[in-house]
Amino acid sequence: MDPSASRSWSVNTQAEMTSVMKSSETTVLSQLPVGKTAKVVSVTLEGTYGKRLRIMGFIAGTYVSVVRCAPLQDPREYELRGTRICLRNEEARHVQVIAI
Amino acid sequence: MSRSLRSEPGHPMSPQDSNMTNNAPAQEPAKRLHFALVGAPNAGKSTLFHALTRARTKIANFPGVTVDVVRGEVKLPDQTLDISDLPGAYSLDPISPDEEISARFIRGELTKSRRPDAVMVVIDATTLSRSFPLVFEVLALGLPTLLVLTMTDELQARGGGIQTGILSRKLGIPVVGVVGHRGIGVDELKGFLSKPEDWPRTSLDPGATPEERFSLGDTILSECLTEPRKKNTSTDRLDRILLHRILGPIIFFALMFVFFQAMFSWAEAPMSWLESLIGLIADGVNAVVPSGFLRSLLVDGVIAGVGGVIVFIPQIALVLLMIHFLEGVGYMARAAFAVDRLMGWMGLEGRCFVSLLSSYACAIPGIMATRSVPDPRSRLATILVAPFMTCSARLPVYTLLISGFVPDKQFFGIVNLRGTVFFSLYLLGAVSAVLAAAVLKRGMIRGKSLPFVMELPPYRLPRISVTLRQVWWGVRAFLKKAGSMILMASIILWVLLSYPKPENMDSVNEDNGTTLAEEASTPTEEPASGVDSESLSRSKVLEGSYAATIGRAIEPALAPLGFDWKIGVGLIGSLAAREVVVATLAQIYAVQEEEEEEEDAPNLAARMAREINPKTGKPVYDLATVLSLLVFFVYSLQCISTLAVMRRETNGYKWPTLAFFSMLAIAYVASLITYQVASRCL
Repeated sequence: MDPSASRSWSVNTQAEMTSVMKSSETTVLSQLPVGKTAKVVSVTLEGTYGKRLRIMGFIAGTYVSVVRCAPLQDPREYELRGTRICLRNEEARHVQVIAI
Repeated sequence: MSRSLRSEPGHPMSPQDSNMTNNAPAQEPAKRLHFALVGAPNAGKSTLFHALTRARTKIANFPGVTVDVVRGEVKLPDQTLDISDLPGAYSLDPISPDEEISARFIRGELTKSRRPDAVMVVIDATTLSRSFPLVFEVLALGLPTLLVLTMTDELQARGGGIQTGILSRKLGIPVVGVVGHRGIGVDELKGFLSKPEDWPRTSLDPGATPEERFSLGDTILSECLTEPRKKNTSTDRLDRILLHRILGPIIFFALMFVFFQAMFSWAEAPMSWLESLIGLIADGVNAVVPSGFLRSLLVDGVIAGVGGVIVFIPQIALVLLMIHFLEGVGYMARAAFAVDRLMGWMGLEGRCFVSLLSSYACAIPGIMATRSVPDPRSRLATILVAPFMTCSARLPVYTLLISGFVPDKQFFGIVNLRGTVFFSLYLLGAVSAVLAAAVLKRGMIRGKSLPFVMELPPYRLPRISVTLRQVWWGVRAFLKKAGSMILMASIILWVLLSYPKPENMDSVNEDNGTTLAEEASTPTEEPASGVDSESLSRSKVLEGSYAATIGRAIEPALAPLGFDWKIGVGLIGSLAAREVVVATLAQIYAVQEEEEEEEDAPNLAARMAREINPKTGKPVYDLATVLSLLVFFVYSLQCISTLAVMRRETNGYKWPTLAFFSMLAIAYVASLITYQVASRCL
């Protein structure tokens, strides 16, 4: 097995991160269009729920893509770390990402 | 349906502790090793639990989502172990009541449970990389810990793989890959269970933040995980249709509509078999037991009452099957996702909708399922409105009235009028529940909602045996209720309906009806034509019974709803449980028209249809009365078990009392309007 092939969940080094930040612009997850992928920069939500988002995998460097939105546009379904999580736009606003 | 509650009424306890009251056997030997299964929702804990415990499950949880601790036994050659299946949790830092149960259980903080000696962390191999926060949280507890990887077959099928040996070495704890539903790896796992004190302990620093834990996990995985090359394409394809913004909702309603139509026709044959079986039993008792007190109690009380309710098991099983199938396959989470916005307008969230859907089986698992709702106000609102959902206890009432009094008409070849009325009642309950929740959430229990974070698991075909077992648990709970509460209510009602005996009719239960002929020929209001003297005397007993006295006392209040005193007696009986109304009516009309001349006694609906209102000379059960009665059952909270669970989950009598009286008031008003409008327009 090639170890590097399986490490696609996240960006691991600070250098990689910085290069990504330079090449793209920061936005919030709720603004990311369906079908696009981004990397998480930070979660700005405080408290238990901020922590819960981080426990669910929304931590710096993790790839997130927007799978679809619900019939009424909100919430939306995201894919990260091999799972599908849905978030309301209200919460997704608090996830800073870099579109790639 | 419900299971009987073992918790002492009046004993205050939090919902977090309640499960222990239900599940911890007091006589349990303390020496047995005790394992806990923890893991994220949908990680396959329950399947593994079934594979390990086989048929040795001592205590069944409520059907549906595992929101309570389920205890089982594992038989090893040399010893027997206890295993507790905990509710799904992403973290031991809980955000919802069900996660709190898991967190407190594993820390030994639940007063009535023993702390587990060792922990098995169950992780879905396809979601390994997101599972490390939980793994390290458990490792930080310092208990002997073993990692179980489920769905390893799915990982392989998608072109991925995991080297459990390397993972085990890196983590410093045993790792076992299993395919729970095929039993692969289960024996290896059992091999570990006999000596948890010998399990290697980790020497890793488990970290403190999710970031540290993910980074540690990613480093470990880079050496042992081959990521799946293929996505779960079938889930994507299904979701493209089922979550389509227009097709999705249409499919949802079409499915429900077809199901309720089908439920009516599919259940018909097995129901008639059960009816004839109960008829045979009654005949047997009639033949064996000598006429008199005992025979009357058995035939008119027990068999007519309990039998009248048991007949509805096929329909109840079908509803349970649908709910558990949708739950198991992963559709419920989609439903929550799709309607979350709508529920948001009511101040609720998607998971509340799932709780409400589960309440179609029974309000009790529905109320229990609210434990997965993090927001306490949304949870309370959902608990309070769950009884509006059409539970299976209403099925006997609906089926009896609809099949007896709604014409069997077909429209466009496929749409059946009875099925449509049936579906409308379900819809009425659901719409009322959502509206009531909106009113509650905007008025009494207002407040900002908490965030909504939910996983959408891949679609997976549930194992048939697990689904059937869940259905069986539900049916068994119903049978238990029939054997206890309904049996008791039937006997009490039989006494009320049979006593006091009129003074000049002490011999009413004697075999020779001829001696009664003269007394019985005194004019009564009952339809006498074609009914022999014994049944006439019986109806005289009924007219003078305690039940009749009570029924007549409340008749003035019920008359505007189109109900006579006999229905009133049924309604009083149904305060214990809704099905009792069927049992009561079965008794009333069995007493009244027993010993029919036909070989086959007419079924209950046919007997009811013959009932004539003495004042108007028209049938008692005209369409307006039937509709009014149906609407009453849509709204009224006639279920002691639900009230008891409500009390337990809300920690007090305030909310169940409020729910009971407000729903009774709503039922009264709604029935009043229905009857007054229907009797004028129809």
